Amino acid sequence: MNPVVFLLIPAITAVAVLLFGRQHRVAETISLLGASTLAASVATGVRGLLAGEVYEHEIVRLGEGVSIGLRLDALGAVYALVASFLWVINTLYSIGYLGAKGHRAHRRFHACFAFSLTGAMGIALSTDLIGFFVFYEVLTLVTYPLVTHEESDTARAGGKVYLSWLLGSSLTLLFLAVTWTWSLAGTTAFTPGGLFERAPNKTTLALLLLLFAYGLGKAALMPLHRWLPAAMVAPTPVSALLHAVAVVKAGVFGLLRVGLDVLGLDHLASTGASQWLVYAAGISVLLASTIACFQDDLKRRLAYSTIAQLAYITLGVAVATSSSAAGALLQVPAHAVSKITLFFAVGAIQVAAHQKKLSEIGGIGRVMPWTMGAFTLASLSLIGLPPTVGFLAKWRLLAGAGQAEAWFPLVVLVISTVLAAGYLLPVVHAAFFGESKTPREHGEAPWPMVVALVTTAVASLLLFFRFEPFLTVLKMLGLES
Amino acid sequence: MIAKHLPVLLVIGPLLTSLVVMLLPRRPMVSWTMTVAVTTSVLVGSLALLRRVLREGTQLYELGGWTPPMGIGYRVDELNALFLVLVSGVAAVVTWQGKWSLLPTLDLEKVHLFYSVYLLCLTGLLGIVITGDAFNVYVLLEVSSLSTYALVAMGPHRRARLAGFNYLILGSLGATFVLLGLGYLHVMTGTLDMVEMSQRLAPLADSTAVRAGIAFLVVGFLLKGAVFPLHAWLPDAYCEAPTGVAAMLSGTATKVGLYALARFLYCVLGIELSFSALPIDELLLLASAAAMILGSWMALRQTDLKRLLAYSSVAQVGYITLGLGLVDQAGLVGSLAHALHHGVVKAGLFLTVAALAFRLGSTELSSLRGLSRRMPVTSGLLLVGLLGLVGMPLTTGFLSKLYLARSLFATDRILFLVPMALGSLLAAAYAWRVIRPVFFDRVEDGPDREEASAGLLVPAAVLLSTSLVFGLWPTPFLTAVQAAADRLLAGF
Repeated sequence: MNPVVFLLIPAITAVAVLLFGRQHRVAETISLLGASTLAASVATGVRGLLAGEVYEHEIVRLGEGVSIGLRLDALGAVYALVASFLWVINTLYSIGYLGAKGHRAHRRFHACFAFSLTGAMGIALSTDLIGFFVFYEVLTLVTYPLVTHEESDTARAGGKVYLSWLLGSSLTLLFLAVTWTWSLAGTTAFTPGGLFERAPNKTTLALLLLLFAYGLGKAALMPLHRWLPAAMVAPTPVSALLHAVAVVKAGVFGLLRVGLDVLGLDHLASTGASQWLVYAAGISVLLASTIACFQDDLKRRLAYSTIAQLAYITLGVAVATSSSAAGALLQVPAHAVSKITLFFAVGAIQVAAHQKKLSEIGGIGRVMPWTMGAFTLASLSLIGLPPTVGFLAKWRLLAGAGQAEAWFPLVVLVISTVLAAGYLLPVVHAAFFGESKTPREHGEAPWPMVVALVTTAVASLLLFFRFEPFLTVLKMLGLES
Repeated sequence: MIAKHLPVLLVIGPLLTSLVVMLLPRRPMVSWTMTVAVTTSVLVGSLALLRRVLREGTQLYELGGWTPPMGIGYRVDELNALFLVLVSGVAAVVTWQGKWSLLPTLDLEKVHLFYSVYLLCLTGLLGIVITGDAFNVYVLLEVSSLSTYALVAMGPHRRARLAGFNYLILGSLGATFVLLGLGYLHVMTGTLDMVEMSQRLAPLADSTAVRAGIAFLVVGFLLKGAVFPLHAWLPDAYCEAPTGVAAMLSGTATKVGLYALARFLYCVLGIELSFSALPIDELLLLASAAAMILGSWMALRQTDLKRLLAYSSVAQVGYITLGLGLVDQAGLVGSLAHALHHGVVKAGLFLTVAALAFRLGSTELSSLRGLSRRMPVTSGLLLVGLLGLVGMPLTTGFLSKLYLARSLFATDRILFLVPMALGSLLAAAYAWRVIRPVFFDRVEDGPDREEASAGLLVPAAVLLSTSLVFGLWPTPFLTAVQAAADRLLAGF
């Protein structure tokens, strides 16, 4: 299979939606079809990859050690799988959500959504930094119309913050990081173990890492996190796209890519060039978690939780041991399935009960048991309790910190687990044991939404019990023996 | 026969047509058709020439069979072949649109004069690029400049005449500087042939006369290329000229000035003399830094689209001179790629402006509100062009910036990354000032959809899609540009 297929499927879907999707039913069908096709082909591809096949395609050669191409490798497979499967579920959810909101501008919505998957696939499969950069920018541009979908003044203000922070950070810092790497190493091709033949000195490496860590603004590392809460003006399926399917994951995936295939974990560990990032990420975890505990608006609460959870991944890369990187990689799917469930649940509450604050949702679990049940399960996974996939990720992060004999990340992980319980469990408590001020006269949200969120909640359980493929991936990357 | 004389036909063709157009009956359509025919043929000829150069190497042509240095020789290598394609390509596409954009705004009695002068201007520009004779450069510089003044002054408002006059004064000053500089060099070397001059200049590096000559020459070309702070003529000239003329000027005139600068600095004077004996590289870098920041800043403050684009040209020229001042392969690739990219994209943008001005009757930013509903295709073209100016990935502008930044790292000029990055951010900001009203300001009960005619849109689309095509498929583009950069570094 040619990996270009993975980019073409969503692109064709988008074009088809634009051409034929005047009626919302047609647009929805096309989207669902495209999403399922993509998920199926990515799954086939990953199966082949695990069986030892190689899927590679060179798109263009710029000369001088730069050849932009696509390749399905173990690292990219994780992100590609997450994005493509969650696209299916998210489409299902969007159908219910947009339906409840009157199918406003559905064609643009579905088309941009599909295009964003092209960007995500490109990010996952790029074989070199320049190609990665190109798709990274594409993703920013095509998600902008989604963020401002409501077209209200607040939506536009949020969209402006979104666009300017993401473009600003990448067009300056990330661009510099890419070109500097190019001129230092003479190549930009991702190479397992790092693309430098001779490791640059500590200062250079630390500076490069600085440019990458903040240039990849989508990773929302504090203090470049402001765009994420601002983008909360987006409709819920878009928030799910931002937080779980593609956007923030593109940032942290990029950081993983940089750690493993550009700078090299060994170089980082032996020089100590990533020490500063351990502290920056750790502080980001603690601060964001604390802020999350004080948010009354549910979506904002989840947004800050995302900032904290993503910083885990940054932390895992910065600690730079094999276990911590493995934990960071597992955190990508773990956070994705949990966070998408949480957003779906909040969106379902908004559609069914027109409430979006913690102080308003007392007793809602009794009328929306499926929704809040899924919310509870996802919360447990996000906190990192067994038997959920969140536990597997966090466990490796802890082991990695132990490997490096670093006390700071250990302390951060422990405290932040308590804080995660602190910002998630109050919601669960209020839903099941709180009392509503007014009598509740609504039931569950439209069925596509409920199906979607229950599926993702179950996925966080399922991934725990069906863990072998991930183990194979970790072994292929040499992160686990 | 045609193949053998191709180099000179590229210049003689427009020159003779210019005379014919003036003498023929005064029918606008006749003038236009002849201009289209000749510019399109020149484009085809330039492409053929580029192909031949890339395959067989430098082409020499002796005018009238007189061998240089006795006669005048044309030398076509990768560098000027590329610029020939740029100049003829932009000129051809701009001419196509002329029937729908220019003819309706011109006095019918003057159309044949307009096209006559237009072709004269093109003759000059093509001649500067193709010639291997230094004095020829001066003569054709004057030809193109004098005709440009007339073209600018044909703008729709009375202010156009003032803009044309300003350009006349500054342009004459620049041309005089070039003449003086060439005079000094001629006195010292006793030749006007570029190759011979470059051989004889090398041992004369310490001569004050040579240095004075170089100073005059460089300032003259900087003025013609609108390099900051010698850009003052540009904004008014672009804004007041008929939009088609602005497209032609932005795509060709400044680029030709910069071509001449590069040719003289690298080939005629040589890297040793230009950058080791004299600090011209430092000068270029400083001017570029100022251009990138201040040009973009001024663009950001404009309220008129044409004026915004004009100031953005000042900034974008900074990227081109930045690469020229870096004196290394990647830097030159970035510089030349940016010259070609910006020539095509800015011309395409001005053609788009011509299309939308035709409907809106204004180019004020405030009049663009809700344009994406009213003219979706025009708006899309505007978006592509603006993303190109920012240097977004998938446009050729990204490639040039990539190479420029890489070269800044490689040559340890890391400090200049700051103005470059700042310039990019400011470019994103001024692009946003156009994109927001067009796409995101909703106008209640605005006019219905009324797209500009295909005759206006197709030429703009041709130019702008070039940037996308080579942004997506950069191999042929970069191969040619790299060959040109190598040629510059090697000196002839």
